[in-house]
Amino acid sequence: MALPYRTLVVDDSAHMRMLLTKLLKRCGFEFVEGAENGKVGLEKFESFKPHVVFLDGIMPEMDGLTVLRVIKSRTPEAVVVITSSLSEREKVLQFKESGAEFYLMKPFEEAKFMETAQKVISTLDNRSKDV
Amino acid sequence: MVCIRCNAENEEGARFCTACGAPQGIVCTRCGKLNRLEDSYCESCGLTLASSAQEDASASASSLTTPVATKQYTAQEIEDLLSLRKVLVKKEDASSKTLSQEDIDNLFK
Repeated sequence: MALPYRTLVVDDSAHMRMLLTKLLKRCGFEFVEGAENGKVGLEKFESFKPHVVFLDGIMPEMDGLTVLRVIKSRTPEAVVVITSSLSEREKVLQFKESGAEFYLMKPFEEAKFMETAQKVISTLDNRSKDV
Repeated sequence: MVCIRCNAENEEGARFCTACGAPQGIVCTRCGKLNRLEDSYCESCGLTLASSAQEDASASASSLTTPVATKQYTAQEIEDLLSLRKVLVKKEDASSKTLSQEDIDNLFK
């Protein structure tokens, strides 16, 4: 069943964008757009107005933490999933404190992605009920 | 000749001991002539050999046996320093720790 939520995948790896898009569509996310860096990601965030953003931590032009802070300052209700290989406690905490809802560490297994996607759907469903 | 500080054998007329480096007499500050310890004036240029030079030579001679002053710590101070070190090491470990996905999930709950 198609989900009514728009999803933006921001990652400088074309392979990762393709993989995430494929997995998201398998979960029912029909409307998925991609961006190759943080700057383009923010432009697409403004035009596409996604409900959820899958955001890479390390990218050229603008890093994930900066993009996250801008997104949360403009649209706090947008759900942000960080997809990053960063595992240092301090770094992970920075993403959490800046408002990220989920953190998926790369490389990840499909089962872990599916589990996270289900949590994202529940969060979005709950937020849409509240509106 | 025997060194006035360490008693090592040196060649006659040596200005400094080859074993411990101590001056073997009073070196004149003007012409560099090595005078005997009991001399009051330089044998070469007549300059008054300062008494401080004799004191320097004596101090140098006794420095081998004088202990160097060091800070003494009490048992309590040592205990406190060790405790402080433990706290700092623990804090450093916590801040540099890398997380697993499970740790991150717990953090984001």
